[in-house]
Amino acid sequence: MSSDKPMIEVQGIGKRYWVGGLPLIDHRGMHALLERAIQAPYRALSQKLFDTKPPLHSVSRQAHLRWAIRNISFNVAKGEVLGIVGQNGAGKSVLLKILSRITRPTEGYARLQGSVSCMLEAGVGFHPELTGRENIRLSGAILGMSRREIETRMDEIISFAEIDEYLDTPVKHYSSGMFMRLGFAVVAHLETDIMLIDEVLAVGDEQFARRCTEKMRSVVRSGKTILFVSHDLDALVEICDRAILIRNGGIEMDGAPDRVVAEHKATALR
Amino acid sequence: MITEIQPPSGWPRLELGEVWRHLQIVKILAIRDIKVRYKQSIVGIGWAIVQPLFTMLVFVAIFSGIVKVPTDGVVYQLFVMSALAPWLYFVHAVNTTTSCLVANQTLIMRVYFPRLVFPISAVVSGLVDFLIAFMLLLVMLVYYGQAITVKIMFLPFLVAFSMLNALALGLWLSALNVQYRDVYHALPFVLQVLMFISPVGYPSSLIPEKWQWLFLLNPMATVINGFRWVFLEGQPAPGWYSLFSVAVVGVVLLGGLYFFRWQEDRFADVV
Repeated sequence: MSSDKPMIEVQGIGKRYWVGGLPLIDHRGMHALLERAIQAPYRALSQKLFDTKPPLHSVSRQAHLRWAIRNISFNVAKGEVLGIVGQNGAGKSVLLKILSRITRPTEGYARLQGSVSCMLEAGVGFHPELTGRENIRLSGAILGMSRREIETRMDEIISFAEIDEYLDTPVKHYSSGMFMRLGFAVVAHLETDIMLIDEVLAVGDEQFARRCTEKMRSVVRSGKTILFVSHDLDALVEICDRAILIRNGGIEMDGAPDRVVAEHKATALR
Repeated sequence: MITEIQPPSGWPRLELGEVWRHLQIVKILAIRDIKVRYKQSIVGIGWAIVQPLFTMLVFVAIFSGIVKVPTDGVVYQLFVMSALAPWLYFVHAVNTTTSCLVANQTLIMRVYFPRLVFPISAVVSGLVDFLIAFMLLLVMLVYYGQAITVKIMFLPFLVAFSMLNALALGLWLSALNVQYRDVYHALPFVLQVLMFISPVGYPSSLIPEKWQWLFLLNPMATVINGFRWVFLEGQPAPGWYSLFSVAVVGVVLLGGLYFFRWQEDRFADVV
């Protein structure tokens, strides 16, 4: 197994964002130029009319550029379940977004081998006006299921979500619990080689949360490669084979889940 | 299947093959938009009839009642309806395409598939309203005793051309609208101006000969003249000038595709 190429290979990934109210500047600078050109006449006019001070240009470009994550490198082997822990804003979600191709990195390289699905949220693509059944088809297709896959798993999804009697009701009339259950049920029935999961376990009441964890375990046992971000540290230690701790946009620790979680707890309290 | 992730660099690639592989999502998003459009309204899908019908009545009142516009011997109702069917589709398609990325921002921030899927499905979903307006036109043609001739075989080309035209504009506008909502505010005005410079309420022949070439650069002028030629007796066929408007759409479309792909990497960060 160890001689195989890793399923996920991440090398020096970094993502830089433009922060602050000023126009977002592309690395190509085009937009800033355009905006300045369009605004120039107004600025000149308002300075004349209202005697306002010219804006400070001393604020440098660099001051507005922040690295959300930088120099992130790790590998995930086939069938491995990797947990990612870190405080809010450490950069966990940015990492998942890059790996799921929602946004592109500023530097670095990553390679994923096999079909990928990402679960950043339960109920992705749901439309409030559509019924439960229509939303299963919609969300399933958006998350990458084929039509046949959706139809064969439809019954399973419905029974898992426990919404049989409301199946043909628009989801805007659902309780938040029902909505979340249906959303989780759809993502839990995705069948891809690699799964990127962010926080979807925390849904519904205690009983349903238990069934979610149960479902996750069966997914884990099925030999999929999983990247798992969660604040539920107990679940993380239990499910994952390995964990990394992200702090201030970089990897602080990479090792056994219990040790990484202990380190995370220690630094979080500090 | 291998996914490689790298920073954007160089000239963007169109990767239309990838869009083709996601045709299922184009379809399902179009169906979603069609299903949802007239939800929670009493008149419902009837709006797709009411809108063209009332627009026609306004045109009839003004351009036939007050200003007597020549129509080369065709009943004015028919003359204007044959233009409104494609025109209202075009306006609708450009509007929905322009806002498609902003309207789907939660999807853009949560899941990846080629973003071109959104404008394409927006252009497709408008076809249902077009079909209904077109039925209305057919009913009127029968009522006023216009025979439907073999020229109707040109209809698919005209419809496809309107779709490509709306898509070409929509690609530019939707990508710009992600960062500059000014586009959204300017659009109604721009579309209104476009309507006045398109032969919706009047015939192309009213434009002086020396300005015809400029007037006919507008692709919607070609579509409208085409519709009239197909459905109405005694209307002139679109001249060879119209070929330029095909070139216009080609250039705007290709440029729009590249512009969209170039901007695409930033959608999730900016929207």
